[in-house]
Amino acid sequence: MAYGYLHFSRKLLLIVFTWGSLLVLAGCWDRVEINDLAIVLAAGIDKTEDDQIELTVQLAIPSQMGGGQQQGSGTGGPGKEPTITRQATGTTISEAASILQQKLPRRIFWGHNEVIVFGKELAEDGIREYVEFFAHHPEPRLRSYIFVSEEKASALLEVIPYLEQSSSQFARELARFQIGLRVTLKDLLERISGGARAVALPRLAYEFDNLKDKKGGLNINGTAIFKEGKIEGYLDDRLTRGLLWIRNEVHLATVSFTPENAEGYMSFKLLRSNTQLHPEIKDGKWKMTLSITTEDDIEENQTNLVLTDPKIIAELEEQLAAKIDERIEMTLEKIQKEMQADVLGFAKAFEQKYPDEWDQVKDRWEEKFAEVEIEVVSKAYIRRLGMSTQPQGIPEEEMKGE
Amino acid sequence: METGKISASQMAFMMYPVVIATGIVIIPSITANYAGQDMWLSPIFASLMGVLVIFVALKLHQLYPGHTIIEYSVSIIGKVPGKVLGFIYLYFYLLMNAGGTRIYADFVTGAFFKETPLFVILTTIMLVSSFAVRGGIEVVGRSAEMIVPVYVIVLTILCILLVADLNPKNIFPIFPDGPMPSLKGAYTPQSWFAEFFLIAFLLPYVKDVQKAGKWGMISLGAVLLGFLATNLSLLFLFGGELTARFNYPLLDAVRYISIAEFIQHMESLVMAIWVAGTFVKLAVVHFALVIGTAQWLNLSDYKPLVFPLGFLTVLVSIWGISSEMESAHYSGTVFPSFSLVVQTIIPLLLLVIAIVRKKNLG
Amino acid sequence: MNWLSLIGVSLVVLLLFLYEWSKMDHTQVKEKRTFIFLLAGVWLIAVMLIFFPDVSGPIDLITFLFRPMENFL
Repeated sequence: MAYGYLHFSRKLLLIVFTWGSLLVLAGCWDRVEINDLAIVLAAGIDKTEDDQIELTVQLAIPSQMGGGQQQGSGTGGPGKEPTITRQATGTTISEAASILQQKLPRRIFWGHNEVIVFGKELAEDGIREYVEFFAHHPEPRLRSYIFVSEEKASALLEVIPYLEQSSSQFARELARFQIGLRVTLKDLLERISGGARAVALPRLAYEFDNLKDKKGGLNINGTAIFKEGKIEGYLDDRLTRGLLWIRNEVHLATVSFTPENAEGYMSFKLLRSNTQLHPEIKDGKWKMTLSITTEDDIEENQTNLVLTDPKIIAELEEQLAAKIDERIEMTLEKIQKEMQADVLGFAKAFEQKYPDEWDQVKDRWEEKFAEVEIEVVSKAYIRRLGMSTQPQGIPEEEMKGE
Repeated sequence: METGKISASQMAFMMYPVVIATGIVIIPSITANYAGQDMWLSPIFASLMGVLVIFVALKLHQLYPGHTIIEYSVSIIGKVPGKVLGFIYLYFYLLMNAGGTRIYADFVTGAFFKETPLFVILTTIMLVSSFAVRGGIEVVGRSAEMIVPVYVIVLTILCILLVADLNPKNIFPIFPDGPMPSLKGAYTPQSWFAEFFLIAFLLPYVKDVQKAGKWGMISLGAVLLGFLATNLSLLFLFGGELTARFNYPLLDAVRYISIAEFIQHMESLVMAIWVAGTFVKLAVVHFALVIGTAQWLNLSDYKPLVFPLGFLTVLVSIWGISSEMESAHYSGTVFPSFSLVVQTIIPLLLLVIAIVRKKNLG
Repeated sequence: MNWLSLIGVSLVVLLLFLYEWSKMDHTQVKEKRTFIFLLAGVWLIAVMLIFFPDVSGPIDLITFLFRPMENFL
C-alpha cells in the first residue's frame, strides 16, 4: 500500500510541476511589451526661471515610424510625424521624468535615447550635476551623443527636420559625420572628471524653413568650451576645425587657399590625417610637440597650375602644411591663451609620460597649461589629382609648369 | 556515496566559471578603485594565489587519495578538531555560494529586472543548480563542458567588438606610485582565484587524477586570460578612473558596442553568459557543500541534502543583508579575508602537519 | 502579504519533502532524520525571515569577525 501512495504522490507532483511551470513560462516579472513603452529618442535639459529642471523628451510613435513611406512622398503633414515632444519640470531630472510619466499612458523607456542636449542657460550654470542621471539610471546608453544647444534645448527637439525622421536622428547623423565634435556620454564622463577639468561639446543650432509646421534643419555651429562644468566660451566653425585637427578627430575637411604665384583658389580634400602629441619636460620647461601628418586629394583647381609637375606639387604640399599650421595656431591662441581650457588632451598626455611631474602641477594645471610651449610640426602629402591633370577651362598658353 | 566520475578536463571546465562567472562582473570596478590604470596587473598578482592553492590541494590529495578535505582533516588533526574544521569549511562554502547567488541576483535585478523580487531570481537559479547537483557530479561536469566553451566564445566576441573604441594609451603611466596600488587591487581577486581550492572536493571523483594538475593550471590560465581581457578592455575603453565609478563596468562596456549601427544593444549576451556561467558556478560549489555535509555527518547518500541546503543558501544570501551595498561590501572586503584564512592559510597548515606526521610515522 | 509568504514557503517545503521522501528507501534512517531536521530548520529560518527580516545572519557574523582586517586595508 505504501508503494501505491508513493506512486500517487509522485504523479501528483509531476502534474503540479508541469502546470505550475506553465504559469511561470508565460513570461517574466518585468515583461514589457513594446506597445507599453514610450521610447525616448532624445532628451533636452533646460533650466527654468525658478532654477528648476525642464526635461524635454522626444518620443517615438512606432506606428508612424515604419519604413520610409513618408519620406520623399512629402505627405507627412502635421499630426503624421513619427515623433512627439513632451516636457515636465522638476528639481532633478529623475523627478521631472516621473512627473512626465504621469502625463504619459506608456512607461518611459530610456534604452534608445541617443541624443542628450543641454540648454544654453543650464550649460552656463554648469552641467556636472545633470550628467549623473544618465550614468546612474540603468537604461540610458553611454554612447548617447551630447550637444549644447544654442538656445533652449526644448526648441531644438521640436524641429521637424527634412531628410531624417526626427531631430534626434538628424543630430546623431551630424555627430557621426564628425564635421563638428563628436562627444559621447562616455567621453564626457571621462573628461569632465579627468585631470584637465575642461570639456568641449558641439554646439547645436537650428533653423526653420517654415515656422508654422516647425519644419527645418539642425546644424552644428562650432564648439562650446566648458571649464569646471560651466561654459567658458565658444569656438566658431573655423576654430573648431583646428580643434579637431589637434585632437586627431578630423575626418572630413576641405582646405582651400590661393597658391603662391598663382591666381584663383585650389581646394584640397582630406583623405586621412594623424595627429600625435609628444609631451616633453626639459629643465622644468613643459613643451608639447604636435606632429600632424595629412594626406589630401586635389578636388578643385581654379588656378593655371599644371598638376603633373612634381615641383609644383612639392610646393603645394608645403603651402598646404603651412595653411593647416596657421589654422591650428589660431585655435591654440584662443584655447590656450584666452580661455586657458585644456580640451586638447594635453593633461592626459603629460600624465601618461610624466606621472610624477604631473602630480605636482595637477592642482594648478590651468595656469600651467597656459605656459606650455607648443610646437606644431605638420607634414602634408598630396596623393592624387582627381580626373584632370591640367586645369580645365583655360587656354593652354596661360598654363604654368610642364 | 558519489559513484560518478569526471575527467580532469571536465574538472577544468567546472572550475572556470566558479572563478570567473561572478568575478568578471564585480571585480574590475573594485580593482580599478585601488589600482587605477594598473588594474590589469592585479589579476596577474592574484593568480599566484590560484597556483598556490591548486598545489596545496593536489599535495593533500596525494597524501590522502580518494578523500576530500572534510575526511582528511579528521585524519590529520584528530577527530574533534577535524570535525570543527570540517564545519568551518561547510560554513565557508555555504556563505560563499550564498554570496555568489546574491551577486548574481543583485546584478539581474539592478541592471535588467528592476521590479522582480530578489527571492524569485535567487530561488530560480538555485533550483536549477540544485537539480544539476542532484543528478550527480557527472551531470554538473557535462553541463560545464557544454556551457563553458560558449561562455568563452561569447566573452571573446564581446571583447573583439569593442576593439574599435579602445584606446591602448590608457595603460600609461605604468606604476606611477609603485606596485602597491596594484597589489592592493589584487586583494579582492585573490579570493576569487583561491576558489580553485574547491578542487579539494572534486579530486576524489576525477578518473585520470594524474592529469589534474595540468588541467587545473590550464583552467587557471584561462581564468587569468579572461580577467586580463576584460580588465584591459575596460581600461582601454573607460580608463581606470571611470571604471571605478561604475557598478558593473563590463555591462556598460558591452552596451557601448555599436558597429555600423547594426551590431549594438548586445547586453542580452552578457545576460545569457551571466546566467549560464552562474548556473555552473553555483552547481559546482553546491556540490562541494552537499557532499562535504554528507561526509561530515557520515551519511550514505548526499542527494536528500541537495534541496534543503539549496534553500538554506538562498536564505543565507538575504539573511541580514538588506541592500546591494551591504552585499557588495561583504563580497569586496570581508570575503577576501575570510577566504585568505579558510582557503589558503588553513590548507597550508594542514599540509605542513600532514607532511610532518607522515614523516614521523615513516 | 506575510501570511501569503508563509503559505508559499510552507508549500515549497512540503513539495521538497514529498519529492525527496518518495525517493528514499526505509533503510536510510539516518538520512531521513537529517533530511527532516534540515528541512524543518530551513522552514523555521524562512518563517523567521518573513516576520523579522532584519535579524542578523551568518554573513553578519563573518563581517563582524573580520572587521579588523578591513581597517588594515
